[in-house]
Amino acid sequence: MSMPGLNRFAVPLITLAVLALVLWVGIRHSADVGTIASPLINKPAPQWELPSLTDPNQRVGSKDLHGQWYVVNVWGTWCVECRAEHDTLLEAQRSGVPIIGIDWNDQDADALAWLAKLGNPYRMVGVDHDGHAAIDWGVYGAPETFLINPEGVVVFKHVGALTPEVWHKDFAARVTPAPAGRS
Amino acid sequence: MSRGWRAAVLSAALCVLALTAAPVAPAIEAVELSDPQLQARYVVLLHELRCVKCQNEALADSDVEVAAEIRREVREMLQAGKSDDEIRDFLVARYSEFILFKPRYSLRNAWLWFGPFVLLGLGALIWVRIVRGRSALLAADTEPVGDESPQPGAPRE
Repeated sequence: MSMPGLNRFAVPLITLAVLALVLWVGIRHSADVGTIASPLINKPAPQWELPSLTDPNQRVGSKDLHGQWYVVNVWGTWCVECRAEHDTLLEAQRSGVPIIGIDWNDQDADALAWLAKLGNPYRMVGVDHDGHAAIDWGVYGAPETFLINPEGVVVFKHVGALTPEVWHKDFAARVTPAPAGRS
Repeated sequence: MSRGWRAAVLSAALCVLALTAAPVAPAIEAVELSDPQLQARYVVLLHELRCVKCQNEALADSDVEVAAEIRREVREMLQAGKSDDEIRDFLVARYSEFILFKPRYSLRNAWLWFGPFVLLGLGALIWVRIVRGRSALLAADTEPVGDESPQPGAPRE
């Protein structure tokens, strides 16, 4: 205790700094209320294979997509936010990045009518009647949208309706080479 | 027993009854696993897993569809002979540790467990130092009191 003057301020200041750091880290790393940070980010995308919505004899799945950037969008006609993001999906589809739909907990007839009426942004749609695929993707509420890179790794996940801003900032901006017109 | 006493005992009994009565059963599907041991593990698991959609509810209490699907997944894994830990790992890999009401012990939250003891130790250290410093001062203080300190009655500027 050679310099009591310095000590008197140093100890509270250091304590304050440590406390501020702990709180800052806590705030930075806490997700928004209600959203769950996906443990799939930077992990290989789940392997899945589902019957096709448009052709029940066909099956669609992750193996059709390896080696390219693609987007997986989990939706359902019962989902209000899915209607809200539909126009964004239609616009995003023009970028050339394939969008794969997983129609979750839905009636096929409803889903087909929805796509016929609103337009179909999906390269293919798999139907997940019992939720097995949705659980594999860690989905807890539609819509949820994933970006997968050519190595098959999940790069980004968005929960809730896509907006043009989210699409450009969080999806299109991550795709390399940058998506241009239709390829 | 007087009337007043009887009324008091009766109302107390009613209170106890009201507090201990089974709560209203949640609106989840009534599924019984054939094996009572599996059923018991199922019920325990459902109470320690969080509903991912309605996040303040346990999986056992939620009537949301995704909760029903996860319950079915848990039942299927139990029947397939998976251990409780395997089931927890399966769900944590998909929904993160958030799905567990009781977080796992990890380096990231270790400071929560040990931090208070570290602070307690630090406090004790500071306390010992202060006490030692004071007793050292006391021992060294052989000067008669009053020589250098300002006179109580002296006028101030």
